[in-house]
Amino acid sequence: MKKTLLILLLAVMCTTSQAQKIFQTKSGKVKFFSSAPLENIEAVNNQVDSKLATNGQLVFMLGIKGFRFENATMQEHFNENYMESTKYPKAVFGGTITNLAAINFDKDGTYNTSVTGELEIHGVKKKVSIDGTIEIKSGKVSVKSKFNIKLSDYNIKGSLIGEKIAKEVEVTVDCKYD
Amino acid sequence: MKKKTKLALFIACVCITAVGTVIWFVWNKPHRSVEKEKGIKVTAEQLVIDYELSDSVANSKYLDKAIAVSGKVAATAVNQDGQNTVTLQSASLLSSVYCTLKKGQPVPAAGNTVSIKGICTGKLSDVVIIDAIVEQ
Repeated sequence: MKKTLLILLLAVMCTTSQAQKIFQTKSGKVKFFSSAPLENIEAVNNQVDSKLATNGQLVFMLGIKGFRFENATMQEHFNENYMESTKYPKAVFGGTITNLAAINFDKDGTYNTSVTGELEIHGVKKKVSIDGTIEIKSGKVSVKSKFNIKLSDYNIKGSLIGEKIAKEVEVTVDCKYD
Repeated sequence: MKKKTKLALFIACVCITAVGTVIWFVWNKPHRSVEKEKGIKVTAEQLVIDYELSDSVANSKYLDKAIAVSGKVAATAVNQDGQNTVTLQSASLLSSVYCTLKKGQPVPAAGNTVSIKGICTGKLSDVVIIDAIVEQ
């Protein structure tokens, strides 16, 4: 519900102020990686829903069940034992760009950026600050970022191969906006 | 005594091999294949209405299930990893059904009415269907 309101708010802000523009995608990409002794754990989600407004607001949403692993058993464990994705089907991030003045959406270039906001995974919400880059190329925008997530911060416990997976996983965000 | 030890060793070897084989097969079991599943039949309009009414009720009905969604193709595209995507029109102005097709599937033309069967991963802006095949 909160997210819907946030999106509506973004939409309203877009119509009331002509200077603001919203970029969006429904096929952004989020990957995660975790090194494990037996086999590295890697999965990709290609249905990341994201909106980026030129006033600095940024929203990402993804369905946990949309992560695809090479190994089917691993995918099952991830959903059932770690993420409990039937109970918590979504991960959401909503935040704002803190160095908006440094980004010129009308000028091609790669801008370093920092975003602060709230990340919700596994039903746990946490304030986070994440670094990344925004690239502008002939009017097209893309966002990239790589950061680590501590599983215990989001109350994620594995019951099956609990001890074997890393305490932190690396998350890579790569979204090209329409 | 020696014979007994040999027999015990032999049995142990057989057991270890059997357990190993079972673990190997469980670990390397194939991915779920939507082609073999029947699929819940629903129209794109109804699917979006169900999700707009209640995310949790709709999830209990559709999440992680194979569903065959019929509707009019509003748009097609190629995603960042080269997979084909199909957007099915709904009655809502805010939401559609966004399907990511499996490799090698024919891409229907915009305006055509099709049935797409895939796995539902819930609703973001759109209801999301992945690993999908085009049925007609």
